[in-house]
Amino acid sequence: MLSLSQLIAKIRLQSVLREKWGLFSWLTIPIIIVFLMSFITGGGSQDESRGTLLVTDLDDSFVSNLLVNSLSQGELSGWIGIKKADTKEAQDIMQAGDASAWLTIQADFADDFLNQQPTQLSLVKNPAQTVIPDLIESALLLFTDAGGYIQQLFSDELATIAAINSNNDLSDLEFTALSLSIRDRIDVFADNLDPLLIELKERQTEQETNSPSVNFGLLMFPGAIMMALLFSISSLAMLIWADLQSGVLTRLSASSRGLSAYFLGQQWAVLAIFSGVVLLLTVLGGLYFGLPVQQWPLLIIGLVISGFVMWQILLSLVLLMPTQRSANIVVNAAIFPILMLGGSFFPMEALPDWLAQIGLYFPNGYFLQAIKDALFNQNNYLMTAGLIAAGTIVLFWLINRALLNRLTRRNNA
Amino acid sequence: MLRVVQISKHFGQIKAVNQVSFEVKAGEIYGLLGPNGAGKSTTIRCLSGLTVPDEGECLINGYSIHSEPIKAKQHLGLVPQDLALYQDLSAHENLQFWGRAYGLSGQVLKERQATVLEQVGLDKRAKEPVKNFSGGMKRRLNFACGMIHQPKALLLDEPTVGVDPQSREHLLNAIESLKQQGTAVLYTTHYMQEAERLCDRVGIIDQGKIIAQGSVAELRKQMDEKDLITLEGQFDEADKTKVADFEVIECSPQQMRLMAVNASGHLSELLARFQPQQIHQASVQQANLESLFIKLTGRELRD
Repeated sequence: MLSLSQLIAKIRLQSVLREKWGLFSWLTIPIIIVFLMSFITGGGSQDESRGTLLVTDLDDSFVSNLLVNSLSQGELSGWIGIKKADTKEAQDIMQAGDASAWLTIQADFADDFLNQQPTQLSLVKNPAQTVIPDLIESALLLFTDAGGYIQQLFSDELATIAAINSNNDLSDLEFTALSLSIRDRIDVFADNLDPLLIELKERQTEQETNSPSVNFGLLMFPGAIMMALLFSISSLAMLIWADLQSGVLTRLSASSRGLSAYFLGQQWAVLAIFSGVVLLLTVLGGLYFGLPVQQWPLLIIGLVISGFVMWQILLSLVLLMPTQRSANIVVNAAIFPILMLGGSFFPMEALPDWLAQIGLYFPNGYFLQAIKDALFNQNNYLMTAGLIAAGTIVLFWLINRALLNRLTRRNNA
Repeated sequence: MLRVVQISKHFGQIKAVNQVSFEVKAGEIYGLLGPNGAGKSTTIRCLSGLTVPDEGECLINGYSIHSEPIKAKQHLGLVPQDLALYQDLSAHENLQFWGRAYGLSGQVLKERQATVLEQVGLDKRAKEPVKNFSGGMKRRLNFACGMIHQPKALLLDEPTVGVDPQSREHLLNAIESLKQQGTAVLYTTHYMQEAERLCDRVGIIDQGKIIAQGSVAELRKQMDEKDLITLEGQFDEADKTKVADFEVIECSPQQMRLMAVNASGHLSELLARFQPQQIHQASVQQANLESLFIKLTGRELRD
């Protein structure tokens, strides 16, 4: 048989499940917001790139392929997707406005480059887009500059490679001589280039390989789950006022063990509801936005604990108020800035730095960022955040227990 | 079993309860009678530990409700004036909830649920949600929840307000059976007939003070077996001289109240002392608690 607190939790759960529209709105509003935001910003699944570069490679050589591959490597791959097309197809796509830019590589591009002759790349940008075409142009300029330096530094070696390219034949002796020549040339410039460039490159590479590719939707959906929890907190806290108005709390406080069990029962109910909401939304969001399954437990536990902290804090506000109406107004007025600045409507990453700093002072903002940093940035301060959460829960638990006593007593005066 | 010792409670400038004392023994029903705002509910709140009195002490089975609340509340049942039920739960579930709140469990709880449901006549509708019940049925269930744990002392705060005759009879019978079982019952009401039927002793409270206390028979004696005559019409101070041989309780421009032994026999002679158009209505009330209350306060219980 259930204990009194479990029975109270069961009654509360039943009352929440009976209010199907309330439950539906807690779950659907955050889902709608996060999907709308991710569609607006183009942040669907992580494999989708944000712009398409059409490439018509009339040369189709080792050098032209090197150039095209360079444009789809590293961080650029998150922004630019390469699509090879012939001239006619590329023209049709550009006419339809379905690509960000169109790069045409001339037929003699590799020969001209290796023989240190001037050569030309043709880039057509989509005027309907702004950021991605400019990004492609900047990247191409970087690569053409780099090509110019390579021509200057390795003119003899490039001539040899050009010969290989045409004859497709190289003796062991010629290969060794070419290798030594390139190494000698690098040695000359090593003091100027090596230390800084190599170290920086290695660090970036390490981070890229260990952290998952993060898109806007993935950054936003933990905040959206927190939004669902905050919506539910408002309703759940008001149910305590309903029990007070119905006389149940008054009568319980006249019984030998009622009020303590009631308080404990509310906590059980809230934990159960939060666990259900977080589990459901994590599965939906995790599958859609491509969060690895092994990261789900951290997200679920983190959000349930964070939500429970927020419940304790907001409950104290509700119990402090003299009337149900004022409690309702105050808790709703508090929730909106908490949502806006605490990373639920907009992820901290999308806020200006100064605003994000303010957001971190909100408990939900701090805990959300701790979870996201642990998930996406390998910046793990979960232990500190966990200790802060535990301390806050204990402190507000005691405060709320006293406030509930005070409220029932005041109601009976 | 229940002892109230010199309790007082102020709300701002208002003295809701003023030096109230009484005692209810096991197997006794004590009626606390008074109009709305007289201090009945405040006294009940002090007794149940919901409000702390400014002065005095409330003892339940020897335990102070304020210094030893857990022990005292174990012996106490409360049936509040307002319904305190979960409307979406069934009668059976509500009883389970309140039984648990008073520490019952297992087979004992199940047996008590069945017993009290039968006592209040809801055993056939035990599984229905309370929100489907009539007002009277809800009142009966509200009462059942207060006695589920067989308390030694039971506080009933106007349990029959707004109740249909059938439900009222159920409730009054249940209260009488509690008395037979040795429960000390404190019963507040402003229905005189209920008090006269149920209560072994009665305290009349007005403006926070107990103004008369004793058994119904003792209180009737205070009336000297006089009946109450109420005349409605148009009166002035000079009219008092016309009824100098009667005991005048009240004389207002619209109403005059008098007391007399065998009032019915004197009524026609009394009416003849006034102009025929002066009196609109006349009534005689035999000596009872209501007429005593009017005698003591000059006001009716429902004022």
